[in-house]
Amino acid sequence: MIKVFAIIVLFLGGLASVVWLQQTNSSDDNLKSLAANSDVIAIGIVEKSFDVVRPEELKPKTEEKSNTIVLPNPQKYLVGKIFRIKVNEILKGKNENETVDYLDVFVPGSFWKKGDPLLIEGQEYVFILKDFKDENGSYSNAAILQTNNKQVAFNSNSYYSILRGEKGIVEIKSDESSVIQKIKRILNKY
Amino acid sequence: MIVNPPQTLNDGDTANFNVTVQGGSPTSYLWTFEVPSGAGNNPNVPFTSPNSAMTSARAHWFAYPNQPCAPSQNPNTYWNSKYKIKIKVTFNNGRETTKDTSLTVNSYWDPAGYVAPPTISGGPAYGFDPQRNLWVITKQGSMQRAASPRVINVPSTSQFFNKTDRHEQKHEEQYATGILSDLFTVSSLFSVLSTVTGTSEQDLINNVNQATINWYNQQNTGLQGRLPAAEREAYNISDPIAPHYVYQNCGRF
Repeated sequence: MIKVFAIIVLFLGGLASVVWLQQTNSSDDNLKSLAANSDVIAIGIVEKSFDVVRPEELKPKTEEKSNTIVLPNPQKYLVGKIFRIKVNEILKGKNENETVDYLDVFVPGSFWKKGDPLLIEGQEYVFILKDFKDENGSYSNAAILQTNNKQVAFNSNSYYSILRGEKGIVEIKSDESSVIQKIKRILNKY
Repeated sequence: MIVNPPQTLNDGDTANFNVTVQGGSPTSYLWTFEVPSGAGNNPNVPFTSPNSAMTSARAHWFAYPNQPCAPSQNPNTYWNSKYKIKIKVTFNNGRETTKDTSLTVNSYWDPAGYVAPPTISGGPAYGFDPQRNLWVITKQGSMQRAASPRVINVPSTSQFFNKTDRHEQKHEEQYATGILSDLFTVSSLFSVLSTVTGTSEQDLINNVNQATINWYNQQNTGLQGRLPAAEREAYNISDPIAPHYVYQNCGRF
């Protein structure tokens, strides 16, 4: 199987790709470990995002004395974001026969911190995903803020989380099709 | 002879060691340590009393393999450096006995530190405009840009505190006067809110709330695009600060 794949790469990608294929490096092992622990691996584009909020922190408030409106504080109301991913290809899925057009990924936190995945709308990534589990019930009262400003209950069972933060995404730049090939090659081993 | 069991501590914590001798009369104690050959970052267990039955030492992480960035393969082994601790006891009859234990020193804080983006505290003043028959925003009121102080999760006793602190200090500067200073400003939010109106007092308040949420989203989108540059700038400050391990850019940004 690996030989067949190597021949295809030689044909499509040229000599440089073959040299790359012959190399084994430690990032392969990291990808292997991530892939083995994942539920889904997908290639897709970040299409849009939705805020996940604490509704009680978004109730409009005023200070009557000064006739001012108290503005909402994102560090209090924002508990995470859902990123809607337009799927281009599923590399590893739960059901091989299922067609998946979109995946919703939940990233906790009110702002980005080092180690978190940095997702930019319109950008393509490989996503290494696991089912999201709200183990402590931290999001049981959370709501999704929709584009029409309506709130709907956040059902944590409906989302994926990115495996190991920033390590669970690989940005696909136009000149980096080899990244996808590398992951496919690793998945062929499973 | 009983020595304390293996222990795992964070870099900068205090490790305590003790040995209990059952039978015999000890005349001297000697605590020493061993590390893998080729380990970097000056491995050391600075025992406070290396010749006593009880001693302590500040936990000092060493680099193995000796490289600035965690390897992709088995990064946990890199972040958790393991010293072999040896205690040699000499008895009055000249007999010597040696026992081993271990000290594992963890250097990984996730995240090591952070600076949250500024928020706008307070809020705008409002009133009723009889000419337009609308509730409107009248002035900035108590709106203020509230900078978030840096949070450092690395304890001050750790050898990584200074570089982490300096890194996050740079982020504070970026929001105050640097490349992120034009984000999350009162003038920007007020320029949006000053145009918001409502057919009733409650309608205005709801509309201001929503406009503020939308504005924070826009600001965050702008921030996301600039974060790589902001991180590069902060790492350019912190990477040259020793020790040149673990909390380096390592090509991420």
